[in-house]
Parts: sequence; C-alpha cells; structure tokens
Amino acid sequence: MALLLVFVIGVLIFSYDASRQVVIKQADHTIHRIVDQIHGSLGSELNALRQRARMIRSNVALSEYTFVIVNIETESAPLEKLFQRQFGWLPIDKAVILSNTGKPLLGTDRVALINAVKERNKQHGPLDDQFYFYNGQNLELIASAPIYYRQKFLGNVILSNTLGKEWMNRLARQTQSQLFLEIDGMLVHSTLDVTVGNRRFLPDDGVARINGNDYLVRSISLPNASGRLPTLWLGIAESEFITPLEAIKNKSIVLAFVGAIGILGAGFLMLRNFSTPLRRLLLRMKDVSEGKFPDIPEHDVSDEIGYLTRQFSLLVKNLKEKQDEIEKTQKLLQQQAATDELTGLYNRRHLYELFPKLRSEADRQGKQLVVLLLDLDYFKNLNDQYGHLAGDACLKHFARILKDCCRVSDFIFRIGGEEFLVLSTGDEEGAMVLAEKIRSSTEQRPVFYGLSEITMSTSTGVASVNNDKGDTLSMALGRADNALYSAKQSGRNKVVAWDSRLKYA
Amino acid sequence: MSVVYKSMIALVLLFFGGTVSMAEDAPRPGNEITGAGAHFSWIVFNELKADLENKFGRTLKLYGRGSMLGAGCNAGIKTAKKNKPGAESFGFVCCPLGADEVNNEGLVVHDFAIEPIVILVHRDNPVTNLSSSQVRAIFRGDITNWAEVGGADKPIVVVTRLHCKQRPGHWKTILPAPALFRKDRLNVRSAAEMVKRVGDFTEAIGHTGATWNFDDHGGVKVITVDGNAPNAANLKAKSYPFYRTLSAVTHGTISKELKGMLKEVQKGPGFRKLADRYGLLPTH
Repeated sequence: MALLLVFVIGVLIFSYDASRQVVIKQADHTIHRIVDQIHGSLGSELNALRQRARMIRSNVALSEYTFVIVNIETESAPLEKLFQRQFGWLPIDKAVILSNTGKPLLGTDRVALINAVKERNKQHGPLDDQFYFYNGQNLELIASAPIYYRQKFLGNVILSNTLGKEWMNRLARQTQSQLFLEIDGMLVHSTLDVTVGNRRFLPDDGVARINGNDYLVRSISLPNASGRLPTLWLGIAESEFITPLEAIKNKSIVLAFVGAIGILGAGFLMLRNFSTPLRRLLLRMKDVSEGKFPDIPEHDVSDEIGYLTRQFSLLVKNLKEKQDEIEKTQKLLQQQAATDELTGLYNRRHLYELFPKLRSEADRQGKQLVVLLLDLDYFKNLNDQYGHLAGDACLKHFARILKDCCRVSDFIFRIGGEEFLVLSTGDEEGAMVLAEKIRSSTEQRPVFYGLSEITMSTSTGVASVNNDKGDTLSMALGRADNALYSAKQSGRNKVVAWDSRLKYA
Repeated sequence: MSVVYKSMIALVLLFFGGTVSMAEDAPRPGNEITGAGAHFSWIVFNELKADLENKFGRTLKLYGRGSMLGAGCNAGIKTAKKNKPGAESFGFVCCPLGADEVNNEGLVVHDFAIEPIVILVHRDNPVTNLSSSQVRAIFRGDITNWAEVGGADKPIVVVTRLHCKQRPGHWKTILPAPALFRKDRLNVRSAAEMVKRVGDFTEAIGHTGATWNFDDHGGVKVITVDGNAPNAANLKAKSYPFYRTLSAVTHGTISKELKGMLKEVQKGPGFRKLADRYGLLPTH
C-alpha cells in the first residue's frame, strides 16, 4: 500500500513539475504574443497619430494662420480657436504648434516636449517624425509634421497621445495582463492596485515580485525614443496560471489516493478470487503430481477459477478412485502371488521371497529360525475315498489348525499338495513342542464333510536353520524333509527332528 | 340590384374618389421652379418665397445657403443654364456679369439691387470708422498697424475673398486687382470663412456683402467708411464707396410666372421692405 502510494505520489509530483514547466512556457509564449500585439498596436497608434499630424499641417487655414502669426507676429490665440474648431474632434490628448523660430504658438506649457522637438529638428531637420517621449509622469506617443506655406517652413504640428494610467488599465483589461512602468528600478505606474511611490521594481530572470506575488514580466521595447524613457513591462501573475494547476494537482492527489485504494481493493479481490485459488490449485496439482490425492474444498464461485477448480477436483477424485482400485488390485495380486488360494496360507514362492528377510531379522536379533515341514498322512487315499472336494476341505481344515496352533510371529506356508511348512523363530525344542501340538490337534480335530467324519494325521520333520551363512533354505528344507521322511517311515503321525545321523538329502 | 352589387360599386367609387383626391394633393409635374446660386441674391428670393409662390401659383425650390461654403455666382449661372421645359430653373449672382459672358452663354441678367460691401473688423477692435483711402491702404499693405489708424498697437491681419476674379465690380471697388492686395493676407473661400477669420483675429480686417445673414455675428462688427454706414441712402448719394450689383440670371425661355416673380422682386413692395432692412439700393 505504502509503496503504491509513494509511486503514485511520485508520478504526480513528476507530472505536476512537468505540467508546471509546460504552463510556464506557455505563459511565456502568451506574454510574447501579447507583447507583439502591443508593439503592433503602438505602431498603429503612432502611424495614426502621424497621419493626423500630416492632415493638420496640410490644412490651408492652419498654414495661413501660422503664416500670419509667424510673419506678422500677431497673437497666437486665433490659431487655438481655429485648431479647436477644425480639429477639436480628433482623438488627440495634446497638440503643440511650434514656430520656425522655436516659439510655441499652441500648447505653450509643453516645454520639455518643445525642447525635444527643437533638438530633433536641429539633428534631422524639419521632417515628419514620430517617437516616444517621457514627460516625467507619463509616457507619450508623439507625432510631428512640419508646416509649410508657400514653400516656407513655418514650424511644426506636434501631436501627443498619453500612454497614461488609463491607457495602461485599458490595455491590461484587453490583454488580461498587468502593465508596469518603471524607471531606474522604481515603479512609476502600475495597473495593479498598489502604491507606486517608492516601490522598487527589479525583475529577476523575467520574474518580478510585487505584494508577495510573482509576475512573469517582459519589457515592451519602445523604439525611436526622445530622451530617457522608462521601461514598459507586461506581466502575468504566476498565480493566474499556476492556481488552476494547483487545483488540478489537489484533485489529482485525491483521485490518485482514491485510485490507489481502488487498485489495492481490486488487487485484493483479484488475489482472493483469482491468485489465491490458483495458488492453492497449483499446490494441489503438485500434490497430485507427487502421487497424493488431497481433498479439494468446494469452490462455488461461478468464474473461470471456480470452473477450473471444480474440474480439477473431479479429475483428482476420479484419479483417486482409480488409484484405489489399482492399489486394491495390486494388493490382491500381491496377496494372490504370495498366498495359496485354497487355504489362504503363504505359498512356496513367497517362502523364497520371505526367507532372506526373516533370516536377516533373526540374525540381527540373535535368534534362530526353525523349519517345520508337515505332510498330511494318506491324503491320496482320502482324496480317492471322499473325493477332491473333501480333500480340499481337509486341506482348509488343516490350515485352520496350523493357524490356531502357531504364534502370530510364525509364518505358515502351503508348499505342495498336502505339504505345509512353518517358519518359526526360536530353538528346535520349541519347534518340536509346536509340531507335537499340531500333530495332536490334527489327530483330535476331525473334518466333517457332508455326513462323513474324516480323521487326519500329519507327519512333521523339524530342522533348524544354522546361523552359518552358508546354510540355505534349500539345505534347511532338505534337512527337514529328511526328518519328515523319517517320520513317515516310522509309521506316520509322528514328529521327527533332524539329526545328523539322518541321511542328508 | 342586390346588396352585394351595390357594395361593390360603392367600394369602386370610394377607391377612385380617393385616388383623385390624392392626385390633387401631390405637386403637379413642372410646377416647381428651381433657383440656386450666390447667397446674397438668394436671401432676397428666399425671404420673399412665400409671397411669390402665393401670387404666381408656382412652387419655388431655392438653394443659396450653400454659397456660404463657396458655391456662388458660378453655381447660379450653371443652374440657369439647366433650365428646360418641365424643369424650369434660374440662378442668383452677386457680381455684375461681363458683356462677353452674357452674350456667349446666352444669359439674361435681371438685376434688382446694389448691395454695399461692408468692412468687417474684430468686435474687440476699438476702430469704428476708416476712410476709404485708409481701407485701401490697409488692404494694399501700406498701413500694417492699427495704431496708424487710431487703433491699438497691433499688426493688421488682412482677410480677403477675391472671388469672381474675371467679373467687374464687387471687391474690385476696394482694389481693382488681386496683385494689389497685401501679399501676407489670409484668403478665404466663402463668406462664412470670412466672418470666422475676422472673428478669430483681433487684428483682422475683411469684407463681405451687406445681406450676409448676421444671425451669428461671429465676433465681428461693421465699421463705417468715410463716416458713412453701408446703406442704400449712402449708396444712392455715392458717399459709400464699396458695393456690388445683385441679380438673377435666366437662360432660354422662361414661364410667365417666373417673369412675374422676377419683376415682383425688382419692383414689388415686398422687396422694397427687404431692401430697407439690408441697406440695398433697388435698381428699378
């Protein structure tokens, strides 16, 4: 969560900084564009003023009046009357008519301007002229045109339009910006509602700080100046374009926070609904691949994961059933391979498989294995007399007797038709007792088959398995068989322990 | 006749009746007489207009105020020459026409008065009288300061309107040729400008006709010459030296009504009263 928030806020800060740069650059372009517009506007105003000056000086009556006044040296008041009557409607802030001798005939109070025009006349001669002028309070647009009468230079018509505070305010409203008039680092006029008396105005790298606000400022060049001019600056408050950006930033932060929470929620839901079940499913698959068949809980969500889980659960269930069947079959087969089908006792093949293990076990425990080889007496006759089914019943009956007589630790095998073997741990004496117990039980427990009571007997040969590693099962069986043979020879229903005096097979 | 037919006939009669009535109210084609030209003659006709229209049953459309802006005798002659049947016209002139001009253009001059040319100075100028020789000397440039003629010590500004240069009389009674006037003078193109110039300069002196409409005096005043005011009696006695002849001019055939009007202006009692008011001396 924190990491995501840090990432989102980092992206936001980067975006904000980038946007800020773009906005400032755009504002810079805007200021340049406005400055160009003002240049154009000033140029147009200057040209218009020059046209008016030319129109005035071309007026015959004005030329004649000037001529009369200059030539006859009458009072200049009629010129003012004429000017008001003929040109009073023109959009001119101030007009000066200067005689060729330098005497002001109209606008006598504009001494500084008159001196400036005189100076320019001295330098350039009486030409159509236009320039910017600073009267100590305001900036002025000046256009001057020489007056001629009968090819004689009579003086100058000088027109002035003041670029004062009203002009600056109007321009500021039109361009939605601020204007500052500065001279020697001091603010002379401002369209801002600030006192300008002793206020310093020193833009640093295109930014001026006024009343705690930063303004992007650019100077408006005023070519063709007469005398020292103040600098006209155009400015746009940074707040005007940064404030909307700040508002967007705050909204973005809130949106990002909400978005992050949303993403987290979506992630959590995805983890819960998709990733976690999928991970569990993978673990189950791993279990299955390792041969395990875990229980897969029901996933009742009806999405793809739910469908996949249900299908996988079904697959595992089927596999488990098949596996169980296989195991059962395998167990059965193993059992069938190791046991005698009729009696359920181990068979001969299992004897050979089991013997090495029992032998090793006995060796480890320091015990001895004893082999009891048993054979039902006259079994062929019994078969012939009662039939094979009766024979089978006798074999099963004898198997039960063996099971009843033997210990749990003894292993009982049917290794031939009516031939059985018991592997027992212990000494030969114990084995003899067991053999006798079997013989006795067999003799005393007849088989009831149909209406017949069949009495059986068994002969048993007992032989120990030597701890000598050279003694094999075959050798032990051989010895037990010698002893059995001896029991048969001695009249059957006997138990004979192998003795070295017995013939070794 | 059914009511419907009666109504329709009534409507038709009403329609035509209305049309006839409207036609009677509208001016008849060719009833108007147009007169235009110099202000100084126009003002006489203009003041007698109602009487003339009533007496002769023709409508007069008169244009002369424009001559204050420079349309003068020439405009009068041009208007007279536009005369044609159905669009009768005549002109006003304030200068006597030369014999050649009259003959070549086929004009008929109907003079009706001699008008004094008044000498104007600024209202604040203390001078109220000049001799005719002083006036001429001033316009010539021989006298250049009012102190020389009993005024303040101020240079004199001469204002002239040297119109109709080819025609005899009028301003030529002051000095006979433009070259004789002072060079550094102010030249104006109309009577209105003359009044304005003299009104602008306290040092100015100018001239204009006595019938100039002085509703707005424009800061000027009329002075006497040789102690004589510019009026009919002094003209008749030949004691006022500056004057001109006011006339109407016609071209081609003119209606009896216009003839009657011209005669009425020349000799009628209405004009006599007017002449007294403006100091005009009737020529008939």
